[in-house]
Amino acid sequence: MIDVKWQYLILAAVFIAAIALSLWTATRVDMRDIEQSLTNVSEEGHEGVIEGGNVPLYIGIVVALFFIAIAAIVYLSKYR
Amino acid sequence: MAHIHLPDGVFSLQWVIIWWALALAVLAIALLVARRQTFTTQRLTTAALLAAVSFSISQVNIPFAGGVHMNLTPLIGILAGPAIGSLIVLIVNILSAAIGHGGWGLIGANTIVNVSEVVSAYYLFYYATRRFELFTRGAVAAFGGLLVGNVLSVLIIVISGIQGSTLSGSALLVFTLQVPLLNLVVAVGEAILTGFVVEYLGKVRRDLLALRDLAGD
Repeated sequence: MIDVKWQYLILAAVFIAAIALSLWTATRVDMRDIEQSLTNVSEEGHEGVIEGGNVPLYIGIVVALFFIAIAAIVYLSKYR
Repeated sequence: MAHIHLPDGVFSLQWVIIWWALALAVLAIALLVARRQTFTTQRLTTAALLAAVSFSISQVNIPFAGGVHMNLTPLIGILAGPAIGSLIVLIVNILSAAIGHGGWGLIGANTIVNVSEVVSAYYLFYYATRRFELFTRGAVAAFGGLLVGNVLSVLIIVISGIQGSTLSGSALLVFTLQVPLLNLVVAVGEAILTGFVVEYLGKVRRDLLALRDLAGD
């Protein structure tokens, strides 16, 4: 087994290189440019992840997760 | 994280059908493999929770380079295995399409991409990195799985071509290769998160990481 210190050092080096490459790319282009170039989707009609400020949907997700978690805990406690 | 965010109409009908057919073939194999496995209540509950968590986190926009997101598919591979994980990503993709996150026609292509992440993360975690420490195993599996998914998503776009676009072939490849490069930031974040989750589970619930012995994948 490789020493843990070396595992972390190699991981850190790879991750730093990946982040640097990604940041360099981000200075030249962004996801919206790419998607709009490919689809001619208008800026308002951006297809994809929820844009900031969609509070009702965030609340819906949290509430849904809350009930799913309760159901899972009850189910697990009953049958485990 | 790798997810084709293009709306319906971008791929021609022919390619939509081809990717859907391939996805259904992969899912059929997953079902056949799953039938041979032992299912505990805990395993099914874990799968349900992974689907909920993956769907939720994939809807949260990370404001980098115009918007990227995580989807925790490598963690699905590690905790649910390739067979059940493939079914989980199908459900997540259907739910995502239902709220406009990728077109309905692209569920097939997106399922193939996500299955590739699930499967490669599983094999990286349980086979390729067994001699490493848990955090490293989780991080390497996640990062490697996401790289595979990103490359595959680019290949799917290039092979399918974009209807009405002047870009095609190598020009389209060079253009779309920017997507995985932008996604590297999220891949690193998701790898570190997966590493911590796996390390924590290794301390408190080691049995959740013994899928290879339990499932016989």
